[in-house]
Amino acid sequence: MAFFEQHIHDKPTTFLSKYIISYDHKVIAKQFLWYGIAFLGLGGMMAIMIRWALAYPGVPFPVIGQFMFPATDGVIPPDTYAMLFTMHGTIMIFYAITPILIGCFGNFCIPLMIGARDMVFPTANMLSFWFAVLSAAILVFSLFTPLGAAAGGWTSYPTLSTFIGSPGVGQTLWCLAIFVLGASSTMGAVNYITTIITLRAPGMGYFDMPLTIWGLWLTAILNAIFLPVLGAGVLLLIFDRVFGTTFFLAGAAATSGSGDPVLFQHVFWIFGHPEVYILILPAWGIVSDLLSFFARKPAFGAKATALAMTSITVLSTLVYGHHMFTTQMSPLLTQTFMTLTMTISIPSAIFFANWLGTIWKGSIRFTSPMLFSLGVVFVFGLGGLTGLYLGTVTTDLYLHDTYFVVGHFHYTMAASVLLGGFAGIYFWMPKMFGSLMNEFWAKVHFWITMFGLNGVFFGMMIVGYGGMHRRLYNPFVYDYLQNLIPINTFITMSAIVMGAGQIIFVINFVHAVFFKDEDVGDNPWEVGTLEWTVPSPTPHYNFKEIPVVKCGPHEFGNPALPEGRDFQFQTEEIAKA
Amino acid sequence: MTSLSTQHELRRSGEQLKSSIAMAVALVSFSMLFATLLLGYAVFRFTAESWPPMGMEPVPLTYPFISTVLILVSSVSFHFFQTNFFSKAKSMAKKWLVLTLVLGFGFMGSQVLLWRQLDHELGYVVETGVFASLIHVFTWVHAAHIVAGLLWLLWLLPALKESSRVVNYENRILNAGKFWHFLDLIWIIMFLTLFVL
Amino acid sequence: MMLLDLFFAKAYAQSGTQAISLWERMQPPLDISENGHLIDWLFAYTTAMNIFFFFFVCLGIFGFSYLYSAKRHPKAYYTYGNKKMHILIATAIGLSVFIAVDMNITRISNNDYMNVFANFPDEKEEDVFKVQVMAQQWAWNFRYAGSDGVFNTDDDIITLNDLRLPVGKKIVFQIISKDVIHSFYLPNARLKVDAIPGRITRMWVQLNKAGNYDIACAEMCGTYHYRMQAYLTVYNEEDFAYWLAEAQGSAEIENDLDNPDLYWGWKWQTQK
Repeated sequence: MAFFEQHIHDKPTTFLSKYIISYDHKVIAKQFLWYGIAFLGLGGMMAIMIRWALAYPGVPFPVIGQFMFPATDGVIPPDTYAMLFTMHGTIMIFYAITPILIGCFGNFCIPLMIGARDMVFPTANMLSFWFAVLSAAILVFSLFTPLGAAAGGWTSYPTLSTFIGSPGVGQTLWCLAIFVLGASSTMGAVNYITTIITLRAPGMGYFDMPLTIWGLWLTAILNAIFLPVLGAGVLLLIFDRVFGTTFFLAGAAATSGSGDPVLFQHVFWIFGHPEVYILILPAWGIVSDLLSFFARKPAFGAKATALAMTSITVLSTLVYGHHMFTTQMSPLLTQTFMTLTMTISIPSAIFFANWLGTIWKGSIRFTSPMLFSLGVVFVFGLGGLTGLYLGTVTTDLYLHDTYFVVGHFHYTMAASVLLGGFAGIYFWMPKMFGSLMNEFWAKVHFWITMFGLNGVFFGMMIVGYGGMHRRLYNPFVYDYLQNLIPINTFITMSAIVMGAGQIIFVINFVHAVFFKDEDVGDNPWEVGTLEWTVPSPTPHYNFKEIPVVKCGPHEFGNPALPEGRDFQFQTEEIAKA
Repeated sequence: MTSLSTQHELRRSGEQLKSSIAMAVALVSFSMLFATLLLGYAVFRFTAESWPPMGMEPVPLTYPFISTVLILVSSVSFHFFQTNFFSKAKSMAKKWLVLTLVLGFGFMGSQVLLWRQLDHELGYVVETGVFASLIHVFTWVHAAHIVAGLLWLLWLLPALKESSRVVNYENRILNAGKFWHFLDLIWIIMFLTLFVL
Repeated sequence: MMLLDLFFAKAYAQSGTQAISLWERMQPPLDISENGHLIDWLFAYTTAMNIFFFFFVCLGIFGFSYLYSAKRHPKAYYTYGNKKMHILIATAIGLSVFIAVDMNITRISNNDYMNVFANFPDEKEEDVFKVQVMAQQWAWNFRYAGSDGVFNTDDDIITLNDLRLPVGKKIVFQIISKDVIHSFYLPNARLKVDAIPGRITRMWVQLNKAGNYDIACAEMCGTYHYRMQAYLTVYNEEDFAYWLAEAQGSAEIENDLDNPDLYWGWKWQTQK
């Protein structure tokens, strides 16, 4: 329960305090949103360039190719290609998904949905954003160094990522950027965890919190525990690169003593596996809530879903070895990781069943947030099931480092998280900016994205099963890949279509934020969580009076409700017949 | 309508709880950083044929021992600072805080002497193989956190003059204490694993 | 299909494989190994299970969307999904997926892994053919022990990007990397293992079909990772003996014994 009530501050007046150095969680959320969308665009552009090189090697990249690569007549050179896929991965994970799902939705939704006026530590919140900006500046700067940006994959395994494998300051700057971003996200995590524990409105027990908050809370817990592990790993790599230590050096590069490159992989994946759950948990929470909201029915098994998400959080810490099956760990360790990896299926299947149970016998309103949520159910189902092949050791020996893995993680991370993120943006737009996005174009955006996504990532799984390995500049080199080339072209086509579809979103978004002047009312979606009890857009103090919570967040369809209403606010007693 | 003093009480306990929860989470994060370094150390140590490797001599225990004593006593003196402050003995508290700071700076001094000994006398520069590297990395990372801790302690000094904003100040002391004791504990673990055993 | 043909015309022209159906294109490379079929079978089995369960998921998504749209079903069924029956069904679904799919494939994969892929042939009992592999940026070096049967001696046969193997024999590889982490990938045998600097990894196969195949590197190793291609030539027994004799002869003449780089091999690691 709220252990103290936060004061209502004066409204900020200067441009600087309103938009730049703001302590208001809603403004910080919007800052993260713009930041995330900008990097989503940059990362997406890089993806298009990667796909271009894969489908049309030797063909100059259209429009900007000549300008960017004059030495090769507009064709993307192989060393740039390596930087592209490295930066694409890094940017999408740390600079697009993390800011949008965790930075934006975490900041915006947590205080509002739990009935608080702001986060517990507004200053740390503000610093968290500006640290993220610093990190982005370092990363973007690395692109312009003489030897270019990091080019060893986002996983930056040594010894390729040591000073011998990657001379040049780009990789060091990458390590530094990740370290600073880790600091930013850890500050944010401390903020989110403490806020959720201490500032929930009176009457809001943990199981009265919306599942969005559960997702964000569990994400923050994983972040707080595992980001420092990545920080340590990256710090040791910086030491190897800058101070001449040999923690990860071996082989010809280890002139002054030798270390263990595989140690980096262990450290990286001890962080890396929880990281993928960090990225997906907010989306799971959002979808769990939105399915209930738009099926006009309580979330099926909400408590079970919350507990399933919690158990996945715990299990995710025990399974990292499945990323390393080909490094020949001992058979016992290999077997253990395989079996533990499989156990994650149980909670996943349970909340999947709960999702379907939520829409079962509902009264479904196919608004854009609902369409995107249903999309998440579809793509995450596909993506999650493809994880099974990678969890079993023997099939992984074939599929490791092929496009099958790429297809799998894009389905689970990119497709699910992206669709969940879009669902959230369309849903909370009125609360954030005071207007609704255009529903027709939202639906067009949805269908183009869905078809595009499935074309790209299912295609990747096909070529992966065909044996095409990753991080490949030119598949035409290999005989055994010849048959797959038209499929690669198809993937590129789908990617271009999908990318083009996002332009519709951007136009819709910018229009709704800056050029729409409408009064959408406090609660256009007719939903009962606490943020919909305040005006749209939200006033700077959130709540004039701290609400007292009397029921759960999914009170829809109660037959005892009066005519004309099919939902209750969390501040109302449950209607009795 | 609760009375003003009860509201004040609730606010104080709320602020304290929020502070301690946040501090607990932050300490978990810091622990994981050091735990990872410890994991690296364990891997290198237990896969090496002998330790210290390549017939290197173990580091003489003088400076590490001095460091340990200094930081242990500084934790004790911080504890007296805290108890004196909470029983309103402001001037005594100030003396204990100053002593803690002196001991903390002393610790940094002994670390510098240790580094000098490692580099110049023993030749165990940071890049001379895993043994020397680990000692350097561990002590540098720990020292960086000590510096942050010292800055925090210095920040506590000025408010000892006035008696305003008592609520937040108590939390600051509690949190600074937690951080400082945490760093002490980390040092003891380092002392035992890197130098003694 | 005309439209698709237009899109793919350029790709077809370059790959010259126009007349193959999509289904054929999707197949993994020809399996030339004794045990690759285990992996293919498990993949197919998992796929069958996945299709089964995903079919029900889709039935749920599309079926419920159709049956329970607001127009069709104006009044939602008010339940928290926490009644005994609901919990039972959800748990049953969760457990049935876990047992039918996960536990099943784990059991199968575990057996295959422990009994076959991680079960290296006993070099004392069986006639094992040994090859040492050194990966480097950006090529594959292969070493055969030569007639003295000892590695890293003057009569070793050393090839660059050219691996030749016999059918019908168990082949054991010991692999290391010179510089960065690579991965020794035989698509036609469905196997790969990382090549790590400073640590020897190993892999074993038994091949059963002669022919020419690709070897690729499956771990990002630098700018020319994409071109780190080696050629696998599999011979039947006679042809292999012929090649081996010929290669042995050439090795004895051509090996430059004064070049220290020749001796990149190591003492063969026998397992206890």
